[in-house]
Amino acid sequence: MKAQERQQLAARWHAAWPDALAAWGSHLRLSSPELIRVTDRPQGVRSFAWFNLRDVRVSIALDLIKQMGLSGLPTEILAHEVGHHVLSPGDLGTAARVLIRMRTGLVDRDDLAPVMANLWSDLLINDRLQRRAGLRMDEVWRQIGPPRREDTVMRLVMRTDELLWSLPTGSLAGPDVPDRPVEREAQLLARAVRAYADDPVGGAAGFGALVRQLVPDPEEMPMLTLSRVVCHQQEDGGGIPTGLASDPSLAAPALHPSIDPRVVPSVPALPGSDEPGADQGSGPVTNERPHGLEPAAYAAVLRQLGLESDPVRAAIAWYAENAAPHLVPFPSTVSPAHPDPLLAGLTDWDVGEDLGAIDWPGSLVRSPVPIPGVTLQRRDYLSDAGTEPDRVPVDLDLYLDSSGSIPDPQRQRSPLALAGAIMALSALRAGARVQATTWAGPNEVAGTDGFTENADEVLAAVVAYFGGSTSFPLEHLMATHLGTGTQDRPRERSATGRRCHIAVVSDSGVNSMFLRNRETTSEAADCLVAARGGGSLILNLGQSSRKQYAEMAGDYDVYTVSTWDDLIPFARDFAARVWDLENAENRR
Amino acid sequence: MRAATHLASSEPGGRTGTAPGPALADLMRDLAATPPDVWDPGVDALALWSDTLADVARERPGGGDAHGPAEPLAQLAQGPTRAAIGILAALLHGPALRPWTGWWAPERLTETAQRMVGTLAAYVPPTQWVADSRSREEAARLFLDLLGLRPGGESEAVATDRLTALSSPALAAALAELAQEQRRAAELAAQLADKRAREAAARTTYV
Repeated sequence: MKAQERQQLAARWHAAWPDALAAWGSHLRLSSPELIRVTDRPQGVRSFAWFNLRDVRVSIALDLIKQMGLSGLPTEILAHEVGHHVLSPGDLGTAARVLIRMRTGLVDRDDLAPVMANLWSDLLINDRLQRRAGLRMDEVWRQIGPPRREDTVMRLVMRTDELLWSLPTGSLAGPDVPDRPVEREAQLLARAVRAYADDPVGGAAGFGALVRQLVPDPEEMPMLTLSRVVCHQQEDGGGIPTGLASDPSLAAPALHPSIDPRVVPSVPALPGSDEPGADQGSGPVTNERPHGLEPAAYAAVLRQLGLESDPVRAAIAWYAENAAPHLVPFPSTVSPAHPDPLLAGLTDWDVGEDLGAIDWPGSLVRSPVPIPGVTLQRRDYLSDAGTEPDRVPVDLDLYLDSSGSIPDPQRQRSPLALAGAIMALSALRAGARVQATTWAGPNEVAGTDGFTENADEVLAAVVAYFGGSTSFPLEHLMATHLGTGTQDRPRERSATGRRCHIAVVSDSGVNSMFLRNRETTSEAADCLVAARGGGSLILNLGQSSRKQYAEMAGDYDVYTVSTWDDLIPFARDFAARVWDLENAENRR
Repeated sequence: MRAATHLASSEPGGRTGTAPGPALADLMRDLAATPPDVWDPGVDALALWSDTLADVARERPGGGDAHGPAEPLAQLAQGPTRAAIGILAALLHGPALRPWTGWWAPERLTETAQRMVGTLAAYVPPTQWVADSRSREEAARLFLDLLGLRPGGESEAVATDRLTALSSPALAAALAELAQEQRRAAELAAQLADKRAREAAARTTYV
């Protein structure tokens, strides 16, 4: 495109910007759009328009606009892009939620979720603009041209738009394809678009399910047209929105719009949905995921959004978010209340001290003639410092079992890792330091390098996984508390002399802590004495075995839980008992 | 006797064509302006319809029983569909259809009312014919079609297309079909998941 032509086009489009904003509201303010060459597009973007939620910016490739014949529709296209910042998705948290729900609806084709999420947003935005703002969104589709015969998804969307905007059949969708009809699904989608007009997250799973069922054969979903036409969401890293990992509604099963009472009011609610506690023997448990997303799915979503590509860091974020409700409250800093100063005797007032400090009655009693430096007196004060007990929190030395029966924390929700996260993060909050170690078989040990106050390091150790056999790292324990070095990690005792609590979370494999070559050893007991902060063994065992382990453990406190899930309330209470210093004093 | 046959255009496809009628917007406006009296339970819908026929239908030569043509509606005039008859009566009196006074025989009008109430009222309650814009459009189009008219300014093809697109009975059938398919698929998936869970339980080894 020649430079002058480009300039004129850009000028016309800039002039249409205020109208585009006005379509959404008279008080909307957004920075001007970026109108650039197609060659300057960011990598991965194939369409003529894209948006970035973090920078709140609209970008258009002018060359492609001209090529597709859309130069005469600046208000429509710009208003559509603004709609992505205003209506759907609006902000990064909503975009993440829409993506998660879309993945749920698309089942096995979750690679298509980003494009389908944008297509869903486009449906909602176009309907709003066509009907309420009076823009000619149908003209945009006409200029782009009808979809190809094989492109069932685009034909569905076009027919839906025809129904929504009362257009003649085929004016947007092209001629009907008899062996791949989309009429019923388009009627349903039209109702869904109206039902979820203000709620992109609510309707996303239904749209995904509808699309997935319409095109059963994955080969039939040509992506070329779609990615050219659907505006792209372009994110480049940054913070992770909160609330995604612990929201149970995000993992709810997808509801096809034909059985969704919000879309088709005459549909009765599903039989199991009103009584979650009822017998679910006839089918799969509908609340099989009461805890929300699994860590593996969470990591996949963050990767698709372009926010975080390292699965370990995603797992850390997952466990930190899920542990958060169970942590002890932050201790308030204790400062002694300033008591009123106590009055002491009179002393000489020297020249140069504060004139206001002179105590006149005292001075005149001393001598009726005030002579500075000789007879003038000032009052002396004493302060009585309050006595506060020294509240130093106990450090934590945490050992988490990672043998074969434990699920991999980075893939599935692992109550053991979550309990470890709760205890470690509570200790950190109280101001203690933590050493976390994940252990399995011999030489399968991963952990923080000594005691640390860095939550990320601690959590990275908590989510590590081996899945091997069970052999407690006794050398590591001894090296930490008794000061003897090992070959790999020579270490000295924690230098501050603070007390340290040893906590081991395991199951029956903990007997490797007290047995060496089938003989009992006392090293664990020695370490307990050296740590001076107490020790706990938190074991997943039946009640019947408790006594036997209690005898073996000696001075370690033994707590048993019957299932791994019971660990979480246990960990919360445990953390409150050991590290919630204020309330602990009140309880005492 | 079908009143509109002498106006039928010759349309291919074997269907007697429709004549141009009032503008759709006018008819929809009349619907929206339905007087609230039609909802009054004290109103005798059958008598109202008879009076309407006397006012707007083509006069029968030689007078005749004024209530005869309205009789087929006796059943429908009792139950919850009473108000629907009132709405149609008001519509026939309205300004949009005034130029067509005297076009239709009373039997034709009664038959139209029967079919409207029989098909549409089963899916869309009469309150929606007045209140909801989509239902208003559907009711107006269906009424015109049953009377042998099409909205003014629209071609036969466009009018038919819109009527089909809006048709509530067709929509309900399509949605029921889809819902049935969904339930069937959900059942199959449940059975499959159940089977897998049982297999997995049988295979678990305890460490």
